Amino acid sequence: MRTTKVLTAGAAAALLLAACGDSATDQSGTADDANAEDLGAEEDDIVLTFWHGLGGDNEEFINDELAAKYSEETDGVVVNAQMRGTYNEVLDQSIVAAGTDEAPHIVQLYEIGVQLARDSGIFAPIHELDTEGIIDPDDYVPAVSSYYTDETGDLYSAPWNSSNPIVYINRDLFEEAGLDPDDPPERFSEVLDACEQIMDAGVSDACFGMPIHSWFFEQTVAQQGGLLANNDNGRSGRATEVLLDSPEAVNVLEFWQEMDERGYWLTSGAREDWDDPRTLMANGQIAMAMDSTAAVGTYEASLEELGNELGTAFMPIPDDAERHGTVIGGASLYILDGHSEEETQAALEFVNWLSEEQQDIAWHQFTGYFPVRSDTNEALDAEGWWDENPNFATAVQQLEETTVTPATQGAVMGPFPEIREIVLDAVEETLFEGTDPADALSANKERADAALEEYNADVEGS
Amino acid sequence: MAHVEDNSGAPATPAPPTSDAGRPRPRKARRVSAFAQPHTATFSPGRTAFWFLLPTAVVLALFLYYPMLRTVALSLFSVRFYGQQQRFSGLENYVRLVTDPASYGSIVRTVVISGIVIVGSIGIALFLAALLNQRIRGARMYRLMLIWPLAMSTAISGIVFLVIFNPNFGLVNSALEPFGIQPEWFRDRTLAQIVMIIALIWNRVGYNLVFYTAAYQTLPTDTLEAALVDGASPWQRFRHVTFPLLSPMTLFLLVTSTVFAFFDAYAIAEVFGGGPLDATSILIFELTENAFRNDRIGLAAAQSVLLFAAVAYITTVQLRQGRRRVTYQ
Repeated sequence: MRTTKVLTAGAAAALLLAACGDSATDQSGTADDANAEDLGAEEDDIVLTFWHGLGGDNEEFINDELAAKYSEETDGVVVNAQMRGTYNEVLDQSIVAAGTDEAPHIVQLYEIGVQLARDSGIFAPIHELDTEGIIDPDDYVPAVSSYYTDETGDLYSAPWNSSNPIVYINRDLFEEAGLDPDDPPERFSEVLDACEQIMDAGVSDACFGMPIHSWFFEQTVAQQGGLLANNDNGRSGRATEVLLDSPEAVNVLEFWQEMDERGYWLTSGAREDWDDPRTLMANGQIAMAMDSTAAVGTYEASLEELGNELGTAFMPIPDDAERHGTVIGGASLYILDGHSEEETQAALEFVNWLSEEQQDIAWHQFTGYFPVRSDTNEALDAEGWWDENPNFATAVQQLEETTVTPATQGAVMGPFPEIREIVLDAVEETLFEGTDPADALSANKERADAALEEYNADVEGS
Repeated sequence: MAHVEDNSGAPATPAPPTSDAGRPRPRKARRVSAFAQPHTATFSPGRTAFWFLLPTAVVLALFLYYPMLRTVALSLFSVRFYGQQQRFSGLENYVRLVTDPASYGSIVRTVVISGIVIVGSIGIALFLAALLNQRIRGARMYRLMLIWPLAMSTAISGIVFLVIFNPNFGLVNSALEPFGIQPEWFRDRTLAQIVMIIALIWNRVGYNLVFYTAAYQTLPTDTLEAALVDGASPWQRFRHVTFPLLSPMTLFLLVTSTVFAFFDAYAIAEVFGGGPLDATSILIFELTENAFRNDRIGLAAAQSVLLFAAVAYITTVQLRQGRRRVTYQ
């Protein structure tokens, strides 16, 4: 009797452990790799393997609406799309697979991995591979494609899913506080004034929400025309210095510190907590939030549930700054080097097809990532999509008003992911310890420079 | 394979004298490996053992020993681009870890957090197991509910705690509202560490509880009854009878919880991003950050070798000390 009980307890424990183990490892999502036959590939068909880092609804959309559709439409080509975890994991696995039979043809990587992807040496620039002119760089919105051009000025990788930060507004709370939601604050002092009015009116717990994420810092620096790295953001030569102590950078942290000290900015305090502003907005605890355009759908749904109306606005910038525009965020598509000529050309065809008008429209409307082709924008305009969905239009307008300069092209730095953490260290010192923004930034600049120096030395040593 | 089939044909063969348990073994025999034992008529125990051990040995070699050796080798290289570029750098990675002043901060942080988690999760589990062992109505229900957190992966409990302790809409601060205190859990280093410790203990107590409950059920009732007859108070019975009888289980849980606190705590640190200001950045988190975010696999390998050595040392001490103090029935 006693033994049975112990055994039952032990077996239950083992089962639970197994269950826990599964949920922890499932994220990589590599278990459900469909093989080519399942996708209906016949002998002699070219099977294009496409590795990406988008999960959930987006993954399903890629499988059903993009990969399967292309395979059906195209004779002799079958696309095998696989979600391979985070962007970092996608790159990691691609490097391991490169040169083997398992090597994918097309790989989707995030914007801050640009330098690392190029230095890894497993990809070939699209402008070198595309001898037949399948992909026309001029098809793309210049502000988008400029991120992914290399020193030749031509495309290294092909733009695909792109976003930028905008401000979400609860229009009803704005009106209750006596503010005009059609004339949202666009300058730092206007935001502070609006927040004061909102707090005084007592319509919500606080005024503003935003994830503590380096992306918003980088974007606000670029909006002012500021560079994040030297050598034109690493575009005219390899970056050797991270310009964390620039006046543009100090402006951003001073504004953040003031928003926080005055109690306008409500934050959990946790790093990269994307759910925080979204929940606060959904609860009606704040009237404004800065977040990615890829969250339009989320905000629309949650405010509707609250019985309030959503508005959107451009990112705020310092009072005396000129608006230069945003850096695109998101990811682009890389082609692996070393596949046969035939397969490479087929891969280029597919990459081009992915953002052709029809697919681009479907992708934008489903995800909130903005269209990457100029034609698509015109078609959506003619259709009246922007008029009916002004909140989808804000990000696109913000993008259209971007002047392509090294600042808005965005920085390319090898250890960008590590530098993002260092930026957040400076932010936390400023917000949580009351350190002077300029001091916090210049102290952390040294660490960022050291990371860059180490990376550069390792690349040159290869 | 044919060899195995041959054996299955003779199930009735009496077991050969493989075990010398109880009998003093001649000194010489110790040197002889199990594989080299003399063949008996129907099958050789050495070969049989070999075939039975083979699957486990292959799995262990492939997924444990090879990666371990590979980690040690990697720690001697400067590795970039996720392994594409490898340059032999000798002990450079180790020198860097030892000379980096930030290392000491994270070692102290890790030891303190892990220590509290180990003691806390075992102590609370023991207390709860003692309560659950009382004859009370609904004991099985309580047991089930207390073991429940075990079903949740560490990463998920991290996310849950992030929401529960959110200062602006979390349960904890709502509960504290009548008292007029609203702690900013993730803005203060100590508070963030407290949340992390609570999350880890909460996640671990269920596991420890399962084992303690099982151990409780195997306690000899006669010994406990004898203590009762002798007029021992409940505390005396626990302190002098139950606790010593549970000590083999405590030793086991001490070792497994040590491994948990040093290695599995990663997932929660990941949810907290190691912040604020590195407060929750423990060694296993820094190691994974170096390997997968910062693309410094060689350095991460060196860190993991050192961490492994430290945890191996701690568990060895625990087992040595334990052997002296543990009471076996």
